[in-house]
Amino acid sequence: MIARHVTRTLGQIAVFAAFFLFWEILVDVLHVKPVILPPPSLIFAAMVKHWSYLLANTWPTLFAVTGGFAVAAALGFVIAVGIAYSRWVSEMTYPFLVAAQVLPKVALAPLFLIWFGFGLTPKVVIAALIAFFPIVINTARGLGSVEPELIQYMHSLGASWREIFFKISLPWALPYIFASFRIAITLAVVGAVVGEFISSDNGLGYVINYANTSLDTDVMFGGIFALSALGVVLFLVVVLVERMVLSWQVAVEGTPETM
Amino acid sequence: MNMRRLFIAALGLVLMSGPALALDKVTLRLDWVFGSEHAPIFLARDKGFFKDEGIDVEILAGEGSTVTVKLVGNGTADFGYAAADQALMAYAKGLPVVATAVILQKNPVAVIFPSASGIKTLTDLYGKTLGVPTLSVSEKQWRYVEKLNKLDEAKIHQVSLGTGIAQMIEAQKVDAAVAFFFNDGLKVVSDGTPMGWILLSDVGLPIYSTSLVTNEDMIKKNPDLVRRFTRAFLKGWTYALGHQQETLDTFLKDNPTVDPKYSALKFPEVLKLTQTPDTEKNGIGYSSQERWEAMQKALLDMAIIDKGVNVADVFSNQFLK
Repeated sequence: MIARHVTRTLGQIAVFAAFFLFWEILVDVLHVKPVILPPPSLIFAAMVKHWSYLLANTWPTLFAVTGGFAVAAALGFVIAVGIAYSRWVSEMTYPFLVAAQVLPKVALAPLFLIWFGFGLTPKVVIAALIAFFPIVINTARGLGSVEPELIQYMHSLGASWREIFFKISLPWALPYIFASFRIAITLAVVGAVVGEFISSDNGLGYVINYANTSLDTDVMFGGIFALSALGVVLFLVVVLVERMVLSWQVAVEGTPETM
Repeated sequence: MNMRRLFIAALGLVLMSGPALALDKVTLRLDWVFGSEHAPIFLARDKGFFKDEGIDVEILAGEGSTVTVKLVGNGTADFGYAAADQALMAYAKGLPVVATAVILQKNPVAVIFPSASGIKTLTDLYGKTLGVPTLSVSEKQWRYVEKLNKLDEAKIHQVSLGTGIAQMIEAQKVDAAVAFFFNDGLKVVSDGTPMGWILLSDVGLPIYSTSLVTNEDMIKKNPDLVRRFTRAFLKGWTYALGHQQETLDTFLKDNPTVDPKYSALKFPEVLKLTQTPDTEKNGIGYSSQERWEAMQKALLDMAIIDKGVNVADVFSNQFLK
C-alpha cells in the first residue's frame, strides 16, 4: 500500500522533472535569451533568492482565493437550492447565469474598482464571480438527481422537508458538490490573479505583472510557479476534505461513494 | 526576330524591372494601440516617405514598450517605437536594442489632477488620495521623484491603480494620479473635466521617452536600411510639425474608430514633447551622451537595473541624416 503511494508520487515528480529538463535543454539548443524565456535553473535560482518576497506576496493571494471561493460556495449553494427545487427559478435564472459566466470579467474589472474600492474586496468579488458558476450547476444537478421515488417514499413515512433535504438530498449531492469545488478552487485562483492584474500592490499577480514590466522575466516565472504551487496545494486541500467528508458519510449512512 | 534576340530582349526587360519592384518589407511595432501620438508615422507611410526610400512598412499596434523592446531585441519585429528607458533596460538584460532616434524627448509620466483641485506643486498632494500605477515602472519613477523632492510619503494617501485611471479620476475615487498625461489626463479633459499636470521630467526625472528602436544585428547587417528607415520616419515627424491639421486628418482617416476629440487634444501636446534646445540645434530625434548617462544613473538609483552598460551602445545619432 505504502509502496504503491511512493511509486505513484515518484512518478508524478518524474513527470515534472522531465518537463523542466526538456525546457532547460530547449532554450539552450534554440539559443533563447533568458529575458525572453529563462531556463528553469534561472527561475529556481530567482525563486530561492527572492523567497521571502514571494512568500510575503503569497498570503494576500491566498486570502483573496479562499475568500472568493467561500463566497462562491455560499452563493452558489443558495442559488442551486432555488434552481433544484423551483422550476420557475430554474427557468428564469439559467440563461442569465450562463450569460454572466461567459462575460469576460477582465472587461468589468475597472468598474469593480470604482464600486468596491481598492484592496482585497474587488479581488474576492472577481474570484467569486468566476468560481461560482460550476458550483451552482453541479450542486443543482446533484440535488436534482435524487430519485423522486425515494423522496416520495420518505414523504409517505412522514419525513419533513428539512429531514429529507439534510438526510437524503444533500448527502446524495455531495459528490457532485465536491466535484464542482475542485473546479471552483482553481477558477478562484484565476479570478484572484485577474483582480491583482487590474490593480494591486501585493499578491502573486502583482509580482508577476511588476516583474514583467521590469523585464525581470526570471522573477516573473518564479511568481507563476509559486502561483501554480498555491493552486495545487489548495486543490489537494479540497480533495482531502472531500475524502474526509465522503468517507464519514460511508461510515454513517452506508451510501456508496461515487468517485 | 530570331529566338536569340527575343531571349536577350526579354532578359533585359526582366533585369530592368527588377530593382523597381524590390521594396524592403519591414515591420514597425508601436508602443501602444494606434493613437494620435502616432499620427506622424501614419503620415510618413501615406505620403510615401517610406516608399521613396524603397521601404514597404507594416505598422503594427503594440501592448506597451516592454513588449515592443522584447520583440525588437528578439528579432521578431524589425523596428519598434518604444520608450528609451525600456530600451536601456532591455540592453542591460541582454537584448541588443538600439535607439536610432529619440522622438519624445521628455517622459510624459506626470501627476495629473483636475484643475479645480487647486494642486500646483507636489506638496499640494499632502492630505490627498493619489493613484499610483503599482504594476508598471512608472511607480518606481514616482518613488524616485518623491526622493529627489524630499516628499513625506506618509502625508499622501497612495492607492494602487492599474487600468481605468481616467475613470477613477472622473468617479472622484482619487484626487490625483501618476499617469501618462497625454493618455489618461487628456482622456479626462476630453470627457469634460479640465485637468492640470506636473510632468515628472520637470521635477527631476531625466528620462527620454518613445524612440525609434531596432536590433543591433540589423544595424550590423544592413546599416543602409536602418538609415533609410530612420530618414523616412523622421521626415514624417518634421512634416507633421509644419502641417499639423493635415497629419491629424490623415490619422483619423486611417483610424475611423478613434475618438476625434481626444485625438485632437492629444496631438499638439505630443508634438511639443519632441522639441527641446537639443533638437532645435541638432535636429529632431537627437539624443546626447550626457542625458543617456543621466538616465542610466537614475535607473540604477531606482534599482530598475543593477548593472550599467556603455550607453554609447544603446543609442546612435548617426542615422539621423
